[in-house]
Amino acid sequence: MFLQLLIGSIMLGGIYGLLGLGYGIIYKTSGLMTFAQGELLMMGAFLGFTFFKLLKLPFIVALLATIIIMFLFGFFFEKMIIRTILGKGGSVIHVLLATIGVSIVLQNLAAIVWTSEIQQFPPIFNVEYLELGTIKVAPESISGIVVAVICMVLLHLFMNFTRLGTAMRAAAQDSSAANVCGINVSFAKGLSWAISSALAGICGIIIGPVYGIYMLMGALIGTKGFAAAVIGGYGSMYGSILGGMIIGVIETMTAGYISSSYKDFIVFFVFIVFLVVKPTGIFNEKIIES
Amino acid sequence: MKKSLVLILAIIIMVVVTGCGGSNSTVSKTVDGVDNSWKDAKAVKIGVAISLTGPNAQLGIDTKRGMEIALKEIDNKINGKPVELVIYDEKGTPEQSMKAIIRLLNQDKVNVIYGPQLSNSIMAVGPTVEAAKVPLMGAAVGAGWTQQGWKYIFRPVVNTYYQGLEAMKLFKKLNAKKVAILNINDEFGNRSKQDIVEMLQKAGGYEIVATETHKPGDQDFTGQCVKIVQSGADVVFLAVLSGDAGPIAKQLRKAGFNKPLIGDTSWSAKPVREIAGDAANEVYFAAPYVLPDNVEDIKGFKSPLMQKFLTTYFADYKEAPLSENTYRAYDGTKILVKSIENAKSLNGTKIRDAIENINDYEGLGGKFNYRGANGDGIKTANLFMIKNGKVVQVVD
Repeated sequence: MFLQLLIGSIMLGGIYGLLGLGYGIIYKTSGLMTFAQGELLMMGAFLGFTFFKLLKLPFIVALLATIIIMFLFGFFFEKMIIRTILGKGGSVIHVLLATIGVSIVLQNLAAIVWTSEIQQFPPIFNVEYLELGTIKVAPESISGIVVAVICMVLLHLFMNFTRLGTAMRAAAQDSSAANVCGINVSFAKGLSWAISSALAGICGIIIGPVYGIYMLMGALIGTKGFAAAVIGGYGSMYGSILGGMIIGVIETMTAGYISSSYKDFIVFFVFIVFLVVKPTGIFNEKIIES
Repeated sequence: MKKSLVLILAIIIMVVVTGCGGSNSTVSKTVDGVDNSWKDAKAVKIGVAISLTGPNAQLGIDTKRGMEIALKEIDNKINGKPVELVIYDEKGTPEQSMKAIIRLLNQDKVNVIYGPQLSNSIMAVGPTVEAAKVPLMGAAVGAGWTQQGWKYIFRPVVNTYYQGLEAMKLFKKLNAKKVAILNINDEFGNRSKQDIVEMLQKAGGYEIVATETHKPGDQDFTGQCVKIVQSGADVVFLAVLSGDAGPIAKQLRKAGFNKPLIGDTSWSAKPVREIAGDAANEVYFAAPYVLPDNVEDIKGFKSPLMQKFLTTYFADYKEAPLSENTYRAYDGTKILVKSIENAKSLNGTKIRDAIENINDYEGLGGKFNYRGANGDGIKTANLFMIKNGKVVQVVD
């Protein structure tokens, strides 16, 4: 039972990790925080649903279209809302409040466009589960971890080995110095919001077929993704994936061995313990002083 | 100061409520079998408190349609007197239901009431309706509100307890000895679980190998599903809400559970089956009736009454009904109409007595018999299963 629970928790862990990754990238490049990741996940799921089910496009086209739209949405979200707030002298708190506002607007927008009823996202895989020896594994679990690892590696390569990635890191460390060096700081910051929005969209498409999609689907998942980022080390890419896995495992094991009534209690208890005992997370990520 | 204000308010409410009750309970003299309450009235007023907006809007809209079809069949007249519907939206909440009921009783002075939509709302308005002595046909299936000893409150559909009794036949038919239960941790889920556990223990020969719960709002059920698979259960009894039923079935299948599931009437709704996809196959449930997916499905219904109702429904509303609330509303309205006809009076107590005398009345849900039934006129349901995404009747 332990092994099957562990494998069952992988998809969930991968999703929390990918969301956490989004929180981390934004923080790394701009020192800002967002609380809209869960709703961006919901948007991604609904966009994928629209392209794949309603418009009957091939899955890969639907996936790419969703990623592109979510990417652009993130980019313009930063340009039009975050930038405006900061330009008018707003602080980190104002940005945070704005993201909460946007998340509520997105939820209600989804209810208006796609109704408040739960919608069915057609299955991506033909089989319900694969048998590996005596263990049954859902294909979504495998895709969850594969996508999480691919995204993590790609982002790592991008941030460390491309000019744009280096520019983004430079913009985070000292934006005025980076500006002087000729780095387009504004573009780099927009890019971080765009990547994090696209990641959330991918998460939505992975979990849509398993959980069904509805306006409130991202609310709790978004918060757990945040907890994943904190446990791993807020801003650390590897940390958030590891943090996500830890939360996924704790949650599933609690439901399997104790009771599902306690799973959120225990997950957030661990989150608080980490905040108090080791605020820098497993990967010892330093908080950016601004 | 505050206390005296509350006191004054309480007195006003009491006067209003009991005042209304008084006028309705006055015994009127009978001339030629028709009393003054009938002779003096210009129309028969049916008050309706249903959920027309909010998350349960679909239930209310389908309720209204069921009532409209029932009234169309009698040309909107009872014994020659026109029928007037007074409809209020109670938004699926107990507070709004209370407001709607008070307005229907005191301001509109309706003769009978249909609604509210949900069990907890009916629970809330029950005492007020009883005090006013106006018969009410509640729309919901939760077993609790017909067990309160209320005299004026009736139900036009089989309740969850009796659906559970019918579901017991399924355990036998499926030869399922090891039973797992998964329920939502709320009033409805815990109650259904308690009932089915008692029924299984009473029947004997069953082993309950897992009892799992989930919280309202949960999305991931991996832990519970793996535990159920590992328990070696032959069948899973689900007492969950319609929004969760699809994802739960799906995740059970993904965890490797490929044996039958026993659900409830919500599986007859197409959206629930669509969300579950292939996972819905081998789901069994007890229900009075099911919904057609399209107009061609009408032929598949055995009852001529059901065929007639559905033909009218498709013709009038150009789509398939989305909730079986429309059947309840049709049956409930027809029973109210028949009772008023028989009572030849608009006196609440007389209509109430007439409802309790309804015997062997054939409706969409089967044969109704309210004599000594505590408001539950129907106690039997049919057995169904899902095969290739379609609902088919199981012959027992």
